[in-house]
Amino acid sequence: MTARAELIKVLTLPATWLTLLGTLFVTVVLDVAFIAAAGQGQTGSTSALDVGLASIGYAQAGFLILGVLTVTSEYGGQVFTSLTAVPRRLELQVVKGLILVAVSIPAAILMVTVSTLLARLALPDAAQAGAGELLGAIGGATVYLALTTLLAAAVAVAVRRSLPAVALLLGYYFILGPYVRDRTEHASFLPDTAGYSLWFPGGAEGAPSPAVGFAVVLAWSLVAFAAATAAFVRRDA
Amino acid sequence: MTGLVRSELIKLLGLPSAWAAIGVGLLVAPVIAFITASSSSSAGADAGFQELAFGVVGAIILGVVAVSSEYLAEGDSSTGSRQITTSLTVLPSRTKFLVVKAAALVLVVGALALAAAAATVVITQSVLGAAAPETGTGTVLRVTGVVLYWVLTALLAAGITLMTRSGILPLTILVLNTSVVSVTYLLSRVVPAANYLPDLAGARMFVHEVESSAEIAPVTGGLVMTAWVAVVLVAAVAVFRRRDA
Repeated sequence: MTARAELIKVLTLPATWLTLLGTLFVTVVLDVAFIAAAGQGQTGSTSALDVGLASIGYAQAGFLILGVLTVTSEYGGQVFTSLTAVPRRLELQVVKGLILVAVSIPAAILMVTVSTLLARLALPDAAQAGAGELLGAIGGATVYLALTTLLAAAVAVAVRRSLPAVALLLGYYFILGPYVRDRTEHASFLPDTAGYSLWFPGGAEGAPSPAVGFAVVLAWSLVAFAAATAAFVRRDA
Repeated sequence: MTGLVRSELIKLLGLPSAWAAIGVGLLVAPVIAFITASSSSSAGADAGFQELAFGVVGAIILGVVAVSSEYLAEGDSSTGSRQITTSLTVLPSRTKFLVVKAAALVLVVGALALAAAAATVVITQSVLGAAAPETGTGTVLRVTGVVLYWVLTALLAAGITLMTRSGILPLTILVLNTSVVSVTYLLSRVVPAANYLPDLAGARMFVHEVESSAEIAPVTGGLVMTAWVAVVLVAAVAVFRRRDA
């Protein structure tokens, strides 16, 4: 019951659809730009799979926003209704997290598949990945995006305001994270950089294996979500 | 008019997010400049100024929250009321309201940019010594360029936020574009005309070594950016005057 209610809440939120459709649109525009750049020989990699995945680094912004908005949409007063309907806070929070992951998975599969297929079809002369490698990259990127959505939701639960949460997450994933990544190898234990080894096979040299990357991202997301759940259970809504 | 600007200053500086943005604006560029300068032996002509292009994120947040705070109705005890209703009751002239709001924003961001630029230049000079970019009239002009760039970016953020009435979209667009490999920079490598987008053109005011497909002089860059911001602001004012707050 709680699951059905949470699913209805997420899917009837205009922000959910605006965010996902906006992200899909931007992803396709970036795909076209990356493909054009690859056609002119301006990208570092010549593999069609790498070119197709390049847009995902930007698409993750959409998933961060999705995670934040599904949580902060409660804090316009709705959280009181939610807690009246489901006073068991642990259940409410865990179900919300699971539903969010369930919603982000198909969206991620769609975006990653569209991106990789576009690059594959538009760059027939480039090095092509085998079916196994392609599926691995789509799977890795989907898992990464879903876990990142959960991490964003956890941050939003802690902050309870959409703008500060979005500013924090985007500032980390797009400014601080890339900056640290270029300067220290310990960065491979941070959620964004570890994610690269999970979804970007042509990534940096000496990067950990996809399995290690997955474990690191999973650990960050679960710890963050557990901490957020603990806060939500203890504090005054 | 001074009183109205003062009231907008109080509103802006009463926001916790504004102070967070000021902290970000003051710290990002000097800290990154310090780390970069101490870890590299050779410094380019843009040492310090390159970092000030990242620091603009503080100005972006200020521009966004100055407007979005009027519309935001969040918080655990929010009743969904919006500050804009009160603001327009106090000052019913919408154009005047926007002018004083913009004035307050320009004052705060201008001071922030000046402080951040001064700190960055001093740090770069003291760490790099003789290897640092030469100081002189050129430095003053470039710092002026930084201040203009930050102020114009904040106005751009405020203008977009006024149209969307939510800070998420402008914040996302502008922060993503401040990232190490910005979206507009990627575009400019495919479409040369993208060099004339506001951020890329505006950065020419203080960043001189640009690997790019188009030559743009600092003054031209500043004018191009000003034109963009003017267009966005005119559109935002037109929308705001017509709609129901």
